[in-house]
Amino acid sequence: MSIITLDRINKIYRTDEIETQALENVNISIEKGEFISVMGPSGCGKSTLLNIIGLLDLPTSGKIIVNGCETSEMKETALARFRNANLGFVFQSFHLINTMNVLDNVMVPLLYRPMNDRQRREAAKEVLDRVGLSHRVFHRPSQLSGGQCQRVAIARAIVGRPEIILADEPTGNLDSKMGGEIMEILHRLNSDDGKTIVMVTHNEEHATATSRILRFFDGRQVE
Amino acid sequence: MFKTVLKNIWRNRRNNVWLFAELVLVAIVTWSMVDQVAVIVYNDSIPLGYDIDRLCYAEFTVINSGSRKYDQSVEMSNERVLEDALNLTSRLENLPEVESASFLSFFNFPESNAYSSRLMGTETDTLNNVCYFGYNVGQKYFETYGIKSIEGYKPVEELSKLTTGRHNVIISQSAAEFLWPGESAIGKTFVDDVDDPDTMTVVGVVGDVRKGRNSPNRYCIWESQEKNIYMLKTIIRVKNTTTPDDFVDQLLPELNSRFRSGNVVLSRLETYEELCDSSYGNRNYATKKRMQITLLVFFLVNLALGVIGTFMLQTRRRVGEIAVLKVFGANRRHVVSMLMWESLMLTVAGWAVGCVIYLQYALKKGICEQDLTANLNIDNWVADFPLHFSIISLITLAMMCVIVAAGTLLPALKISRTAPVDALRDE
Repeated sequence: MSIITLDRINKIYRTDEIETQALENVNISIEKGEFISVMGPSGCGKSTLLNIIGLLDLPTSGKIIVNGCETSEMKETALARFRNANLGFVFQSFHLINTMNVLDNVMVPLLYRPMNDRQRREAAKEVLDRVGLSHRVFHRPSQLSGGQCQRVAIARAIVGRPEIILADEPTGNLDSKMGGEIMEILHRLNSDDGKTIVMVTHNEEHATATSRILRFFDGRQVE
Repeated sequence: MFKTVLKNIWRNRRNNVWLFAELVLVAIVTWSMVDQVAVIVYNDSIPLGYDIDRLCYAEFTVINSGSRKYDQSVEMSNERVLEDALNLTSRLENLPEVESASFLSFFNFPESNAYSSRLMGTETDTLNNVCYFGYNVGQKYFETYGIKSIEGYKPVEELSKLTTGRHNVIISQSAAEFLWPGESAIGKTFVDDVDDPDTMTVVGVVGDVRKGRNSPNRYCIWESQEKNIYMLKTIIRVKNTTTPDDFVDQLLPELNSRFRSGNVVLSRLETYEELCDSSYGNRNYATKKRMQITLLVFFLVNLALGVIGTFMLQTRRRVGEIAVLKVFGANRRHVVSMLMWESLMLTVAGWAVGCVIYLQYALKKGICEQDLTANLNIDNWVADFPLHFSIISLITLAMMCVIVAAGTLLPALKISRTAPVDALRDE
């Protein structure tokens, strides 16, 4: 069963003088429980693709169906609610909020759910335990290593139990050992929890360990 | 929501501490500015107690015996001068535009430059600085001024004809209610001096009248006066088919030629508003009022610009944080309300501390009274310290909230509209 469907997606960035086609007629179908890698040279549209799947950016044309919902017609509030319920994000540069401690960072997606503070706290502690950071809950991101920050980011991505995790070069800022640890967590989430993962990566080794690789070049899917 | 907002304020405490200090300062300065203007506005809101919109003021002069215009054939005497002045008053009253006119031959009338005050002492209470007015019997004084009759007491038409004399007086409603609450004041007595007390008996009660615009005092005594030749003037009440301005404009060109009786001429005619504006006390008051309002506007505009600028910078600085919140499910409303509540909570905290600091000052020095209410037994919120402090504090809070909301709302709306992907890229 397809959990993500991209139908004839085009994305064009326009300025006064230049028109750049970031994605050209992209058709992708991702099955529930798949772990997909998206690869290609810089500027080929990988991150744009991920942003469009994650409903963070709108395509210029085409249709996106995520978890059975046609998202093209959704308004801003509905999109936010949909993202909150169905999608988890992991970024290369973590995007943790530096003024918040680890626990509060992980609790962010739960702020927009009808839960009380105690429930949010418990859920956040549980996922921090899963990524091996239960001893760092009151630390600030600035007090953690890169690998620990990315584990916090993963905990934040999964705390709301989304079906889909979108990871944009999650190991890009980490050394190989820490990168390996992050990949291990992602594989565990895929195999144990059945999460569907779409990961942008430049690392061939990490990509080959996933169930499918989508290759892009100049905005077009080439493989 | 509120817990999150409080947490955010605490998390950003390094930036917020400066913002908080600024807000405390703003609260103190706004408090002192608003206090003075509020007292002025309050004073202006108290009704004058008479119908100034339809009144004109006329003055008579006796032509100098050395003047070419002096009529030697007229036999001059005090009685003749008075007779001529009363004659001119009658002629003015008979003009089609005039409803009534009241001859006055003394200085203590509403808005006069000369201030006359007395004391009203009973066994239980004392009123200080009570305004003392005179009136000439049979001159429609109360009707011409438009001073109101009070239910249960003689109508003003009767009181204008009443010779009260030295020991019988008419008093204002506020004075009657203050000294004899719930009772008729008629026949009640009071003393009007401490060292050399004279016992006065109340024979009538009329509506409150203020001594002038620069005083909120509404405690008054009226006493009938003998007519004399030193302050010859007439108060004119025009009909509602014309205005005092039109009436004055119409008569001014022929003032001396048309209104002459014997050697007495109508030398000055102006609207009562003009008379008020030219009085010494009112000129001072108007200057003070203009200055206070200008200062308030100047300070508020500057404070507003400063605060708005600071809040705009603070809000924009958080664009990365907002982007993350939007990625994980925050919508525009969440973002705007979070930023607004943070700013407003900080404002309330700054305001509260500012007010406490100002309270220390106010307890030592006293709140603003503008010389308007000092020693005037004013039974209103301006003279009531806790009430005065509460009202000004609330006005200050409202103003600060408006300023801070304006400073936060614009950048908050802008940030909330930014696509999360753009905001993350900027970060």
